[in-house]
Amino acid sequence: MWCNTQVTYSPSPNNARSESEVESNPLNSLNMVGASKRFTNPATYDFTLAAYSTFDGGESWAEAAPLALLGHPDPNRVWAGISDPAVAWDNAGGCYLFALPFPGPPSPYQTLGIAVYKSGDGGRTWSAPNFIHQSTGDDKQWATGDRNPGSPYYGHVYAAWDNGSQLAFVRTVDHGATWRGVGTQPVGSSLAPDSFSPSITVMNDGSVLIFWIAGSTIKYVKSTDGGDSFSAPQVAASGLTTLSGSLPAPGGFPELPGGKFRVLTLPTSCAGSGPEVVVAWADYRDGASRIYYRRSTNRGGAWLGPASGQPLLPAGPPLTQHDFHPQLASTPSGAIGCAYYEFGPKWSGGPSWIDVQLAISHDGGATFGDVERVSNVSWDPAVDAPLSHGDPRTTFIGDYFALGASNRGFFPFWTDTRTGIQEIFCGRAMVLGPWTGVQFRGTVPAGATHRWYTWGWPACWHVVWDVLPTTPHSGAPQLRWRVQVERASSGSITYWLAITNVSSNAIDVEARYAVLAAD
Amino acid sequence: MHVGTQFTGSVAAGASHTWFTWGWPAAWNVIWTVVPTSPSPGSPQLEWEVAVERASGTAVTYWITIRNLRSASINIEARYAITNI
Repeated sequence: MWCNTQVTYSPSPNNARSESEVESNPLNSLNMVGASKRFTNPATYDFTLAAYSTFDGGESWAEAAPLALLGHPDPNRVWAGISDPAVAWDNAGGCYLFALPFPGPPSPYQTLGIAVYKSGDGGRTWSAPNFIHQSTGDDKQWATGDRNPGSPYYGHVYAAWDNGSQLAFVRTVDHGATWRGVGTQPVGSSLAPDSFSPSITVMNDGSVLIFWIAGSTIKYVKSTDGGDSFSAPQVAASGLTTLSGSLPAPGGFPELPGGKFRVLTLPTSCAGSGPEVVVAWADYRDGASRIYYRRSTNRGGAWLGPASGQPLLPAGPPLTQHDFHPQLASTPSGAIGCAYYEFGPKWSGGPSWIDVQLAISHDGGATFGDVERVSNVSWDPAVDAPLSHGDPRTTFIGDYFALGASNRGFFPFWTDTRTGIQEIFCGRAMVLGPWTGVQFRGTVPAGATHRWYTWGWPACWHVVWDVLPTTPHSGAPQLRWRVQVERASSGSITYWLAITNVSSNAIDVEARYAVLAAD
Repeated sequence: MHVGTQFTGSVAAGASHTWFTWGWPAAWNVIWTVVPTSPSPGSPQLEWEVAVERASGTAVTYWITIRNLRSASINIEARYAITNI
């Protein structure tokens, strides 16, 4: 049972949002920072990134002011927007948003390089971009910080991306003051020649593993010295059946049966609280998209199970349902979560919609037994979907979405169209009550109606109200009441209770609440 | 107890809209609540009423009428709580 909190409130369907990322502040788990694409023209695929922050554990969110873009004397290098959000924290409250600037038409370049924005106030405000690497081949960056106080490299922030097919790398060891590559090499030094869409994981001893997909193989490199050096590339999984190799691609990107949105097989990885590390991906070997994964219990020294991986869920959904866009994250206690989209008809003959699912492992990734539906309504990926690169054959719901994790649990952070607009939603686990009490007492004159209000109720809570007279008077009803509701903010509700005295005497009343479920 | 969201939607300014949801086991004790999802502070945005139809010996259909008290359209979320399972 999950609360679904709407993170963004877009003024227009033109401001569709997708491809989200979220990370919690390691020093304050009430503080999380998210980011996503925010379109300005979905028909022409014009967008930039927007950043969001919460300071109450995801109950309410605020959108930061637009992120600054850079000009350039060469019109082909003027930033039209930024893309591919990746968020990481250091150990001093610094939050970093890695972004991919790109020019507008008619520039011949698709991208311009890698930029870093920093926030020192939990994501409320952001610095000007630090344009740390300039290459028109840069794409698909990922980032993470060393969040482990016991690690000798605690507070380092690492990022990797594709520079063409080269696996490019950068790190900061001084809270963003300087950036460098491997050893003393410059930003963007190459770790491998065949990279696509890297994913970085930091283990509890400070080891850094960078995974990427090369054809039908997932490879990785490992550093045990904070990024001063890396191993040669090694194989984590091979013989994958990728979505690109299995699905039609009328607009150049694979599309699932019944869908028009683009999908890709991209690796996602995370470490547990010990020597476990897991890498997962979307795989089509079963005739439908499924999440497969592989696991190591010795920090990537050896990988368990079949070389091509094992299904995340041994008993998957019907073949009419496609599981894709996996995202792994782990809590400090070692629970490993894998969030993914499940696309298909939600009832016999119904339209193909998407649910957000979360599978959780409590045994270091050995099994993922608990599967929970996070989205409390299914959403239609055809609604308000931008055209991928303006191509009417393929739409866009993001190439990934996010899963945050902290000592407060898991926080899926996804695109959802339930409002008619592609908005970002955040999920938080709820617990069942009830918790009951008396909210207020008062008096209502004979024949009168008096209205009370009570504010600051978390919007996720399921609350029911009951009003009783406390003045005994037998023989006929004494009161009736009506509940009215106000959404005072994205995260809070004000209840208005209008109590009518239907008797001919003043009565004392008592308004009682029951919280049936809370987060 | 089990809780969830049954549907979301929107109600035009000043209007009432009725949804129905069918196939609820008659043995279940179901409580309905409705909240707006469009923040707009200052005064109440909605109220609701529940009407019930015994569609068969074992099934109940709930009819939920939501009234928008404001002069702007609102998005809503209808929640249920089954208190005896």
